[in-house]
Amino acid sequence: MLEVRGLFSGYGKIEILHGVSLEVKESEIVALIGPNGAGKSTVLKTIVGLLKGKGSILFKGEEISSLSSHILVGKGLSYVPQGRIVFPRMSVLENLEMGAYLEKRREKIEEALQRVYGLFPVLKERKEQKAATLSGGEQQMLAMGRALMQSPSLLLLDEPSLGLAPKYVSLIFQKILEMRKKVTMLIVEQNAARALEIADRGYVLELGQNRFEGSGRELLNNPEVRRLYLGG
Amino acid sequence: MPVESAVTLLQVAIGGVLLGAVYALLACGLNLIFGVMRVINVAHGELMMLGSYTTFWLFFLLGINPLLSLLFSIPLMFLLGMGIQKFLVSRVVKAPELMSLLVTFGISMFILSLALYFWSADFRSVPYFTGSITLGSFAFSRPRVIAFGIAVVITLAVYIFLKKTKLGKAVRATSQSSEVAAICGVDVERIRLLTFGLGSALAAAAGSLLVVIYAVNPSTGQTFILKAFAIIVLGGMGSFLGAFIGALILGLAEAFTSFFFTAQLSEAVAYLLLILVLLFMPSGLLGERE
Repeated sequence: MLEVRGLFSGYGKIEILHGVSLEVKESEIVALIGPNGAGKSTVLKTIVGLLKGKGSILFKGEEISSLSSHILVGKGLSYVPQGRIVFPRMSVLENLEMGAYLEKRREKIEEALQRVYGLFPVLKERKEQKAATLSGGEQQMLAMGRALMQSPSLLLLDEPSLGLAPKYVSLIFQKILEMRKKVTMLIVEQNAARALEIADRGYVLELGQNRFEGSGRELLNNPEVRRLYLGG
Repeated sequence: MPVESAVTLLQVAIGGVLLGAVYALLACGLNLIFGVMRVINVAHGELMMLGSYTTFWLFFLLGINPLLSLLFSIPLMFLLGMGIQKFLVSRVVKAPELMSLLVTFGISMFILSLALYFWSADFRSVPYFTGSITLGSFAFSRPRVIAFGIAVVITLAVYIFLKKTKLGKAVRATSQSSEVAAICGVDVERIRLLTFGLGSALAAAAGSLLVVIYAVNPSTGQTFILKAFAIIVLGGMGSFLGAFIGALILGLAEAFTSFFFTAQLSEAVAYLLLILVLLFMPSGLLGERE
């Protein structure tokens, strides 16, 4: 579904990725882990067109590396940015409707909305509330719900558990498992152990380059990965 | 308090609100552009002035009703605003804010100089509506009432556009996070173009209405942009509704200062308000709080 080959990217003149490659197959969960500054988030931002990079990015067989973010959404590629970014002065419902911005058919939007409410009932309870008034965990669910409104074929999740209270961390991972029947996912996580437990496969990045790859289980059991990234 | 002085005070207040609505048009446009682009358009006052001159010349040369001339000044400045965004501001929108400030300052000076060269510094007005409307013991200047009515209708129309339509929501979404708007499928460049056009159109409407109630020359834009800055700081940077409320407050404050002190002093009120707000309420009435 997604094939990244030799990706170079960064901010302005500062290069962060020095040739990263990875692959995500249909209905997989792939985890992208590594220490701070490894370039995990940069990979996602470059795939969705928020950063311009060099190298090849194939999505469903099509080269997408030169396309803008708003075009990629229409092709079934959705992204949940790091830091629970929502539209703070819009209601929960308006946030979700913005997710379906490109969908013209009202009944399709309604259908997606019911699906999102089914997965995250709390969003239905709070649909009239301003997004700024939600708790951190609720905002993360809103950001995920907004992306799911696009009925994506591939969802990129950037640090979904970062900065959340422990009860929400478990909840978010549980929701990700519920989502796996519907959507393929590439997840960036600093909580490496948790991410590898739910992932089919994983990649370990270090200083903008591939370091290890394998199934989630293999990486969890790899002594060097354990020592470096999983705290022994 | 005797009834007559109560009537007089109410009359002064209404006079302030009438003028405030024209300020609101100008300030709402400025704040809309700031909200979406984080660009302070210093040339906003000159776009207003061009709106005034469009109405003046159409009236002076062709005898066109100043209200009808809104149909020319609004689309004209909409296009000019989009042009400024497309060819100048878009190139610096990602650079530090100082860059866009300098670019729009340059545009402002350029338009001002051209206007002085072609039209001289003479004051112009359009004495089309005259007389007053009396209502019981109140009397209102007819041109101000008309300008107020149109200003309120236009501001309200833009407000409803922003709140209720899909495109309007995309404008608000872009102002709250342009990156997230983009990953929702919003073509952010197009929204910026539209917003600059819309904000400039509001300035044009303010200018066309202003020249009906006020004598205007090429430097009028500079006086008014400073008032508009004070208004958006008072109302809250980036808030459309805040700019509207701030404008009415400034109109009232100026009217009462003129009444109790002198008209000259009322010109200073905007800056006094600006300083007080910055000291005691830096995010304004409806501003974004961190």
